[in-house]
Amino acid sequence: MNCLYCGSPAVDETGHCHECGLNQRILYKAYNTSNYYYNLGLDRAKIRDLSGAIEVLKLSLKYNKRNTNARNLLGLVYYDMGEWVLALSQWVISTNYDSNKKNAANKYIKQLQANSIKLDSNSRMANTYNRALLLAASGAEDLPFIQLRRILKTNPHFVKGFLMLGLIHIKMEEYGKAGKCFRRVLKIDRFNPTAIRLLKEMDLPEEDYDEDDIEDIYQAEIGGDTEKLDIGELLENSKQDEEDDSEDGIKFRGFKEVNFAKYALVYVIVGIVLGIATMTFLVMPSRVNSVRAEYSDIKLTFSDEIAKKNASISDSQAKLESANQQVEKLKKQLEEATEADGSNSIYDKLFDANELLASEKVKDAILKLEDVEIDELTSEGAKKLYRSVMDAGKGDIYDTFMADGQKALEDSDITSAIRYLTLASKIDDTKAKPLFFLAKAYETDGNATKANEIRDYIDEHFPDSKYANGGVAAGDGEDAEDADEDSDNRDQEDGGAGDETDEADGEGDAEAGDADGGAEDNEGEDNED
Amino acid sequence: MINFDEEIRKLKPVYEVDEAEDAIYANDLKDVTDILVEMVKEIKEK
Repeated sequence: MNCLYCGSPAVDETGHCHECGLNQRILYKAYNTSNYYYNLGLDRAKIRDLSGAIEVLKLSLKYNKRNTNARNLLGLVYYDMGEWVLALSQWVISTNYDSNKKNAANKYIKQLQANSIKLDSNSRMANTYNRALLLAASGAEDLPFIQLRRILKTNPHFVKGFLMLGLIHIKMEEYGKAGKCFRRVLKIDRFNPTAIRLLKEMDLPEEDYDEDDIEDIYQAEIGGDTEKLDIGELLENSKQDEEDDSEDGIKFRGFKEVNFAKYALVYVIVGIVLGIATMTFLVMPSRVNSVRAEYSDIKLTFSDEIAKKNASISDSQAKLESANQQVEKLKKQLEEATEADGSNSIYDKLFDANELLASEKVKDAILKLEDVEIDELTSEGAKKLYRSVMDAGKGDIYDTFMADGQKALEDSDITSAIRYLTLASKIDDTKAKPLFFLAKAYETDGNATKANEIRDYIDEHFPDSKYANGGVAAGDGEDAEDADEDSDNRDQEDGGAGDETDEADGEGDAEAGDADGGAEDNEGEDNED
Repeated sequence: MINFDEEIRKLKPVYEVDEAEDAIYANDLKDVTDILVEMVKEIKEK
């Protein structure tokens, strides 16, 4: 046998524990007494003699403070009387002595802690009751009365509250209401000594709770049932009492806990709907308007910018076109300049002709300048050089070209005729004869416009010539002498130089005859003429 | 006749939740076993 207190096996036959020194018999007696009072308390609690139950349960704990059954039941009794803190303290001590999960105190504590709203309400109730008690002690009536009514509505099993309310009614000389309060106490705590005493002093009938009946009821309801009470059962009894109260004048509504969790989803949905409605009707329109205003501003800004850009683009296009035209113009000028600067440029030809002239190849020099017009030359030096080359051909070469041109015209070789006659007119631009025959060649060729232009030129520059006015005075115009006379008339400065030229021409003829071969015959004919 | 003031004085304040610790210490009394242990201890000391 192990020691009941320390659990040591060192217990002798007399029941003495050598470990802790306690006598097991005494301990056993004490524990047995504790259990006896626990059973008594349980019985009293079952008949709602809560005050009696508290008394014997406290006695039970004096014999064995580790009697968790007695402690748990004491906590339940306190709980039913509305004193939650005392109940909680008993259950906490119980779990401290017996941490086994099977200890019912664990369950009670969890239930209390899970219902934080009710716990908070009870805390406020205790606070209000204590303040009301102070006020009542100081002689106040109304305020404690109001406060008590309020807390008793939410905690209809608060015995001390009903007792104080009854006392206040007595002070207010409302004995009937006071009696109802005390009877209400007796329905919670059937043999509450204070309530019974006060009812007796007021000479009010205790109705169901006469002194004679108390013992009978107690004996009748004890029976042999010793099952434990739990909070659920006590609360069930409380509900029954509340229903009974409705028959009295005072209406004590039972505390019905609102299950806020049940409405949480509804609150969320309503909140979402309100939020959407607020967004739709209040926030969004203003937001949309502000966005529209911003959009309009941006649109205006961009319209202005686009207009400016368009104007700029138009200007740029105009400038571009102008630049392109200028470029084209410059290109043309460049091309012309390039052509002018090419190997066949008039100046090159002029220089070549000059070199040929220097080497006494007069005819070749003149032929070199066949395609060059004097008007194309810009500098005076070039014009002088050109003229010097052409002047070198006056005489025999001139006559040769004239003769060749006329012969080609007779032979209907218009191309050659135009060529030779043009050369002749370039060599001696003071004579109308080559121009006259040149016009005739163009006319034969069908180019009447050019022919007329040349004739107009003759009429303008050689008005006294016989080739003027269409060469009517010259007839066929084939008279070389007439042409020479005409030349003498026009070229006044030539004078004696003309003889020199003729001599030079004679020498030139000799050279030209060497060069052209067949041309000698024509020259010879000219000389004879 | 009931004396209101006297009756009110008999009523004790209830513990509030903040005072739970005090309530626990107040309710954890000595039992018979504690008294026996103290007695044995005193005897042993003597």
